[in-house]
Amino acid sequence: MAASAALRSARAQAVWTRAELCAADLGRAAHWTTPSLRQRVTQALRWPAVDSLAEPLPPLDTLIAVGGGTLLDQAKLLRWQRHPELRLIAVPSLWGSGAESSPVAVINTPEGKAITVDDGLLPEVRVSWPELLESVPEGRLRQGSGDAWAHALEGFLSPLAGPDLRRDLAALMRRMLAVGLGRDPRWLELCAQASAAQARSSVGLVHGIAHVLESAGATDAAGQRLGHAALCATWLWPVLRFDEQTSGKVGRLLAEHAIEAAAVWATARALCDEALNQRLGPLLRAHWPTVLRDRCTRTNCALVRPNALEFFTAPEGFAVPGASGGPA
Amino acid sequence: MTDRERLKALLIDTFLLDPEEFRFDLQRAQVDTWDSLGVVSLAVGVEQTFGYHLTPEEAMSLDGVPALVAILQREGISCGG
Repeated sequence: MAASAALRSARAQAVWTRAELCAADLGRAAHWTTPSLRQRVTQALRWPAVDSLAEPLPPLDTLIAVGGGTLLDQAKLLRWQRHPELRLIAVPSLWGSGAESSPVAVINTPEGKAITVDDGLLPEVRVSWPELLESVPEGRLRQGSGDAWAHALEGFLSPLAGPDLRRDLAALMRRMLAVGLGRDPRWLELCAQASAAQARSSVGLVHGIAHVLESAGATDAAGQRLGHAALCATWLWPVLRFDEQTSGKVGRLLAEHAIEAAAVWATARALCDEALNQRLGPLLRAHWPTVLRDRCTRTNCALVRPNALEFFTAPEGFAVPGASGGPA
Repeated sequence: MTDRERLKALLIDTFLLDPEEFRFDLQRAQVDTWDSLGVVSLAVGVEQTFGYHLTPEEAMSLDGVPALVAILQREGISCGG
């Protein structure tokens, strides 16, 4: 699937298959792989593994980072800050974050999420290796698709999006609708393109809430920590409803770009776990001032006023009897 | 609510100001949240509240509340004192 010009970053990035990676001349190379996949990746590649990115690294021309968004962002930052001479190859072991295709790195700090944006963060190569995702649970992949939908929709609605980017994101969202939310390796490319595109405008309140609640230690009913993708997936629908109710931009822009609005609303609704959102209400209330100051919240397509909290913590929830998912 | 009151509420909410510290002669340099992201939020809020789309040049050139009031009054939105 060829990325259109507007979906390319300012810095070119090559897209390889696993076979192309294995055949490439990478000079002195090593891979840094998430522990659960290290043995498998070591067997598949001819280059050695490094156990960590702690200094000093062995002399290298190329670092191959294999993992989820957090690991890829750590590798991007290390190369950008300390080893700009390294060629970086990113191999996602999950779809969703699109960290492999964006010039953005997000890391956890004691003060919350720190976001760095620089063209130098973009890996030179990203590799599509769908077999690495075979053991990922269905629910986790679905959340990853929710993260990609949040990237695409918030990037599309962003006040910083120009007409070319909106047109290309509209085309991307039509492909996302056609693929659906199931386990489908085409999501690897869709997520990569959605992430690259949002980096050229901005994301919004979905990401603002996700950043803050993840840092605040949000958990599900079983006490499991909720990651970025899970939070984006479940907050997408309420935020879209808020955006539409407050600004009317969602319906107008979807119509202007001939995107089937009912299908978008239904997808967002399907990704939402309303019981989870209700459960997270008190945590959201406690951290709402931080959400308001998050840089993503501040580029939401609709102004997020302090009293918007009441919309997201209403005791009756977001569901409107008889509504199909879109605004009542 | 008058347009002037709506503008005051918009600025307080956009820049997360204490209502007690708001003044119609506030300058951008006096508001720490009136940074580049604040410019975006303000443009979104002005469009939502008054239906006027600030051009990027207008939004970036605002150096304080009086400059915004002047633009809105030029557009027939009566939020002057």
